[in-house]
Amino acid sequence: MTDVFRRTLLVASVVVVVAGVALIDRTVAVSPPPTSQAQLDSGVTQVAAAGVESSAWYCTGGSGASGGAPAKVLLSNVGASAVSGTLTAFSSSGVSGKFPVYVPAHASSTLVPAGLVPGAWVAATIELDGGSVGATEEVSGPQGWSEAPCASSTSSSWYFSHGSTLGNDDLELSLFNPTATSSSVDVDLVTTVSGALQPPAYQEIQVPARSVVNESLADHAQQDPATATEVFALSGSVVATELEMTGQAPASGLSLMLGTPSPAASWSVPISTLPAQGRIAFHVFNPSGELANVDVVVKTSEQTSSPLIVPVKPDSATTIFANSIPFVSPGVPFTASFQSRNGVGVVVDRQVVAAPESQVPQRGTVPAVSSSSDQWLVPHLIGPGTGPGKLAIQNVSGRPIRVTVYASGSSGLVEVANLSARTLEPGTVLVDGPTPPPPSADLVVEASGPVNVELDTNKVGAAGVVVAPALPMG
Amino acid sequence: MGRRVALTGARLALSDSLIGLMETAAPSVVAVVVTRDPGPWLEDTLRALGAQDYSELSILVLDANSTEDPTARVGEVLPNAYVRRLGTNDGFAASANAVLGMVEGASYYLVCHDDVAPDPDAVHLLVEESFRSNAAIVAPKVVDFEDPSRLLHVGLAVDKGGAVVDRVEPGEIDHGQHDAVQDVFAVPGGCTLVRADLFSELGGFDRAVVAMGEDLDLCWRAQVAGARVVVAPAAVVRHQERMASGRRELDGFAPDIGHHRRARRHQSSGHDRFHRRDRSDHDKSNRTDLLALQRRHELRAVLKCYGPFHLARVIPQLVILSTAEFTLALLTGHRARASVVAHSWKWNVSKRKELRIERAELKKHRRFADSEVRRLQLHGSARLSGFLRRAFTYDMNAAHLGRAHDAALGGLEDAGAMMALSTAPSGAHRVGLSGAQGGAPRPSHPEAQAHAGSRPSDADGSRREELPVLGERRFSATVQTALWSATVIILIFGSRQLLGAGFPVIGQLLPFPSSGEMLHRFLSGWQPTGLGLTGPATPGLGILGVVGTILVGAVGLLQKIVVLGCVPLGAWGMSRLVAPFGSKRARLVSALAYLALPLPYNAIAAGRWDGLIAYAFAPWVLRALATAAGAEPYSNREERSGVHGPLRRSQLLRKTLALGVAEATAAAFAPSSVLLVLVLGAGLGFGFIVVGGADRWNQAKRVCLVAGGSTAVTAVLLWPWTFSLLGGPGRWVALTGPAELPSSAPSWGHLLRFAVGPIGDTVLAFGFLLAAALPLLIGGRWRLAWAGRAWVLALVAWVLVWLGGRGWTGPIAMPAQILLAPAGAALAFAIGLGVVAFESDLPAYRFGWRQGASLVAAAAALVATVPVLVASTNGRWSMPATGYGDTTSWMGPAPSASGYHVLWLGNASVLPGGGWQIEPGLSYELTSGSLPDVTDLWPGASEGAASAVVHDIELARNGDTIHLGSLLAPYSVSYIAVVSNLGPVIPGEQSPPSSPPPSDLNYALGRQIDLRQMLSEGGVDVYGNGAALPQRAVLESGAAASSTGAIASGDTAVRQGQLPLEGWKPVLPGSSGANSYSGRVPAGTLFAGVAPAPDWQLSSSQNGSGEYKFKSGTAFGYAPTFALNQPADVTLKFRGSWTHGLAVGIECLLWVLLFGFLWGWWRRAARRLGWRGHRRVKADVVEEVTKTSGPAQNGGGGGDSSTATKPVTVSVGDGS
Repeated sequence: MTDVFRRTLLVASVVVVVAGVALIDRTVAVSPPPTSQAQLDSGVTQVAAAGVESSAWYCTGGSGASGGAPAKVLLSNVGASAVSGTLTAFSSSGVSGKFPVYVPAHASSTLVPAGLVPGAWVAATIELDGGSVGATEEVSGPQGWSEAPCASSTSSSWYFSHGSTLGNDDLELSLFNPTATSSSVDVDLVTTVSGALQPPAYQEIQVPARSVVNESLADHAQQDPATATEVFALSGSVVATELEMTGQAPASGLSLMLGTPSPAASWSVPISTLPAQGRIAFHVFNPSGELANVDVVVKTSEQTSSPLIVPVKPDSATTIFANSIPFVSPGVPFTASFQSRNGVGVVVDRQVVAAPESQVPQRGTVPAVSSSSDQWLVPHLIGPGTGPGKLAIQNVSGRPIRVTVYASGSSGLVEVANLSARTLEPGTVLVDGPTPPPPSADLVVEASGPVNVELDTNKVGAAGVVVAPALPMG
Repeated sequence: MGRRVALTGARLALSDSLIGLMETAAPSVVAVVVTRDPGPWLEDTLRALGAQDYSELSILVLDANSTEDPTARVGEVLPNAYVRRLGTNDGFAASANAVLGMVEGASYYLVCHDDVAPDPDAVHLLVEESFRSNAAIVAPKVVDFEDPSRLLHVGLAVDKGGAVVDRVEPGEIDHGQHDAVQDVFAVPGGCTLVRADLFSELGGFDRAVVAMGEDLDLCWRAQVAGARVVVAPAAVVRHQERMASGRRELDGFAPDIGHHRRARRHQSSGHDRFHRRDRSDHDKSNRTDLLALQRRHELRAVLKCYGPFHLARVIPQLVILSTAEFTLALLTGHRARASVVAHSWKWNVSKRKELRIERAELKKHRRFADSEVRRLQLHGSARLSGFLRRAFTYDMNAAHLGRAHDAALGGLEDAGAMMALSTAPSGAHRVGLSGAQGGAPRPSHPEAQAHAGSRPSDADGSRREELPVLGERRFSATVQTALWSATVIILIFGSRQLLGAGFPVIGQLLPFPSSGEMLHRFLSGWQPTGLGLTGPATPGLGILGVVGTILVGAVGLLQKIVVLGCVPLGAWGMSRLVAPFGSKRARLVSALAYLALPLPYNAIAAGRWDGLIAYAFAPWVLRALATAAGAEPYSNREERSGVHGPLRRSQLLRKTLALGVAEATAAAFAPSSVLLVLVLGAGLGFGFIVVGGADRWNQAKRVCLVAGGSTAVTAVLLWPWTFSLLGGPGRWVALTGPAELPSSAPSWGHLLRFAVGPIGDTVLAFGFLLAAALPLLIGGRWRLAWAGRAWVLALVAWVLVWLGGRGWTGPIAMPAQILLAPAGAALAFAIGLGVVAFESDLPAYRFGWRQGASLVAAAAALVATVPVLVASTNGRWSMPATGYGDTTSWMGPAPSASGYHVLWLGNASVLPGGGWQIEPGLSYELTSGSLPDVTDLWPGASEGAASAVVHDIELARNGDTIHLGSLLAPYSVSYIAVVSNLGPVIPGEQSPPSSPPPSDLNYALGRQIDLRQMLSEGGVDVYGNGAALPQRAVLESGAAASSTGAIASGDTAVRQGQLPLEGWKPVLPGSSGANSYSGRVPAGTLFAGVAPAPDWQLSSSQNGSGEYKFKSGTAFGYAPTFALNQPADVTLKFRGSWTHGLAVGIECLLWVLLFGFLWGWWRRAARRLGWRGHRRVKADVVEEVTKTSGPAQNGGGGGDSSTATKPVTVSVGDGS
């Protein structure tokens, strides 16, 4: 081999290898590690899987026994094993107490933390030695009743898109720190009257470990019809709920709302029904510093609206009234979808106001749904409602999905006859009630794809005023 | 004024009696001529003395037992002279001192060498000046014998360290500029007038000073005694300086030196092929011996003549200067110089008793304090300033050896003068006894011969390829020294903060415990890593322990040495790797290029000790493999001589063993070194195959054999640690370290630039690639072949690290910092080849693009150094200033003096310490106490009981528990530290590289209701676990049944967060990681959070009933528990196994045996090769030509040619 040949060969080989690998390096991208499910579920309330070693629920927002809205906690066990644990009640006056809990398999237990410790506001931590148990809480009082899920995890941020301090309305924010780490919390308000507020009194609120702190937002957002709230834990993490207590009839109501831990670009309200002489308002809150262009699509069984582009300014909230949508008429169920066109996260809820002559509560606010799951736990009602009214199951995937609803009872999970193996086309909503209605039975919705679930209740001013919380299952 | 002088001795031509009496009006002077085997120059001396116009001059010739009696020769010239033949030769000083017993009544002695020629009026001028100045010692102006217009000496200057400096410049022309009478500190020998009474009072010359320095000693003592020493330039003496110039055998007046040389000559007899060097060696050895004599006698004068106070001041300064000189001489390859320095101290230390006597004697005569004596001394260090002056004026050889080397190189000055100067040790004066006429030689430069096509053949006689060399003459040692000095300065400058303040606790730079602790860990059969493991520790701990002990426990210094020392070690290895190319420029450039790679500095910045070890180790391995392959120019002496042909099996075996020892040493600290060697072997072997050649398969086979064999040797040497490492489930991770996430792996471009850290992420760093491409473009023959191999090796390493980074190599994913070391070494190697190609191949080409390519390559290499130069301004190579030692120090001894664990979680690249891998991108480690130390750096391949901790962490990450604190409580985990940055993030001060753990980890920990977040900023999140059990705790009798049941039931209750851990009291306090604890324990259940349970025992020696051993149980699947029915003084200790002791003993024995074998082999090889490795041959040949050409010319000019060509074996230079 001559030097010339060898030189040429070597130079060519080196160039080929260097360039070739460089080409592959550029072409074959290395994707970052997939975000774990736990991270995806960060802050999202969900039922722990059956096999977990332990799980916990954090329930807050209820008043003490003598307050206007004491809470009951419903533990729904849809698993095959009994679960025991401890409920620790904390009052805003610093009193706490531990109590054993036990939830048999395919059964439920109801607890009233407000009766366990004295104080103006009471929160509870329920530690369980297993999973498959969902926890919801119900507050009730003279102004009505409301249900909300307890939180399965703490978060360093919480968002509420709407609350009213107008007239006699009261808006209470509960900050519950169930962890062993003290937390320092900032609470910012976005009002329609004064815009964004950072009340000094709400900055660096100290929430000691295992304690609950309550703030009446009406003190700083006075006479504001739509106050959005942001909660930031500077250290540690908390659970935040808002309790809106509206005035006397004809527009009374209680709305217990668990905050949303993070804004999202996509929201949906599976089913809404415009009450006669009532109204439905969607509140879209943009807590970011960027303008959010939100597409709103309303769909009935027959029509679909063209996307309505709603610009939401930074640090502000916008209200969209369903009444103004042409084909939305009273009594006709519709689905509303919200999609941030530019990806800016927003927070959405729905407020239903029934006709003045309706049964209390006549006004209620529930958060829209931002996450979907293929398995949902729908606990039975523990309030004055008579249990399952209309169950709405929305297919949020792009393919047909088969859905089966089970009723949890002493004989285990039993298929609900009229909700068994139902097929849902993409984008459609199944609206039906279990037949016959299972008495005090928790429902489990299993689908072959992601769905959103909402359960309307009876005996309220209008459909959607009180919605029973549905909990995605992990 | 008449005086009678009595001479005792042999009166020539009169009788055998030496008694004579003289009456004279002038002071009587006796000229004492000491001679030994004088040459024909003696007659000149005698004639000059005989021609003196001083009437009262007597001449006494003292013959130091010459082989031939010179009496007849003296008589022929000076019939009236006296001759005394001394029965023995005790050296010049002792011989001259004989005059004290022979002469009575003399006023002066004129002590003369036998190669001087005083002008006719010299003696009377000296005597006159003595009277005029009241001087006790008077010296003439000494001029060159052949050319009296050139000055040799006009007195001498001396610094406080005894270094003698001439007051005239070498070869200085006498224009009368030094003709004023002056007080001087010392005068040179040769022809010195000494007042007889002083000479007698002082006891004459120091008998121990056989030659070179007796004049300094005498003058210094005279100064101490209050006498004046002056130089009288009106008196002129011509001097040949035969001995000082190296033209006369030293044996004559330096019997001890002569004996030493004879012994060495005898030792080397029989090795004919080295005799050819003897002639040149003779000059070198003569000069070295003169240097040695001069230096040791100067030091002797210092040690003898100073009072205690000044001696205490001066000695430390001399020690520092000597150490620096010794080190520099070694580093620059002037080992003879180094040995001279060492000899001077050794010799004087050996004479310490004699020195004490001499000091006591001198004290009797002291009239002047040292402060008075020192008035005439030079300020500062004359030796240092002279050295620097010569280095910058001429070159390093001249600086070390005098200016003969420069004369040889340039022939810029008169040969005679230069030859005389050449022998002057560091500017020391010349003292000699000489006599032959004849011109001094002017050695020719070897490069001149090379240019003329007469480049010398190798020592074995075989002809090698003749290479035209460009500019080697201009590439002087001065340039090398300047570049090296600049490099050292830059390295020190760049590391200044690390050198001063030490290392922060980041990455693998963990604090060293005491040397005793490290030794203990090595010898102990139990390691506290994780929850405790039974098994051997890395021998690295033993090595660190031993070295730390040698350093008197200075483990901080030890850490700096073993970490920062990797950088120069790598450069040295690169220099050695390129040495066989025969180009000093190539060696320098390769080493500098290797130093300029961002690789080691990125390793420092990231706290990657293993990366630094790989950097230091790679060139040495490459050298060993290249030598094993035997491809030109890497072949051993025997092969090149054709005596033994290609490498024999035994040679391969020895190379394998030697590399195995080195590999084992490196692997003991960085286990990945094993894979590094294999990759180097595979890459180089592949390179041989790709590049081709007649013997390529054999060469590739040899490379692979040696690489594989050395790895096998390593496995044996590191036994039993190796087996425990390879036997565990995490063997690959233990070898390669935890894997990185593919998304965080460096890109191909970053790899090519070695930008795997904060340094080098710039296009400038591509310059090294351009520079390394030069030999591919212009190299010929073996340069091209080796360039190809180097590039293949580099590409193999690059591609492997690239594939590994993408997760395409399975479990074997070596960190980039380690696998880039072979690529870096190959690249620097190729750059060196480019230099050789530039020197040897380029001249053969016509002017064209190749010349341009060379310029581009040079410019690219220069530009590529910029990132590292810029990074050096940081002072710490971008390493964070603050480590986790400061951030987590608050953990301190809390929460329990009975021990606790910290669970560290994070990406391995930022996690302090070692750790086991949970998944790519997430590792963990459990440390006893707040911070890991260096003993936690090698956790092994088996996690033992600690794997349960991983299970619990996974539960938390999966959302399956909210009671992680309770789950970890039985493992005494009091803190969980989640690390996301290499060091603490301090806004405005430091922002260390970030490599966060999986995003769900902190979320999962945050949702645990029994963990308390204690610190959530600064690169680390710390969670406290208040539920943790103390590592050694007791649950007293009578505690809640549920608490006791918790132990009994294992972890069931714990997992549900219902374990009532209250009531456990810490007991048996002690340092973390110990394997024995003692103390009083109340009755109850004793829990010890150390694994494995069966290997721990609790005993008590109460009541004098002997040792009682408690029955143990196991809790939580790993921890021993003991039931105590009553309070007792107990000892909890690890029950060691005798098999471990045996294994460690065998391991140590293996090391000793192999070292012994290799040492013996090296000694035999060294003897066979004349204490030279074949690496040195080329340089030696250059030296040989330089020296042999001298005598060849000299031989024609004088009578000592036979002496000059006489075979001697004392070797001088970098090969000795």
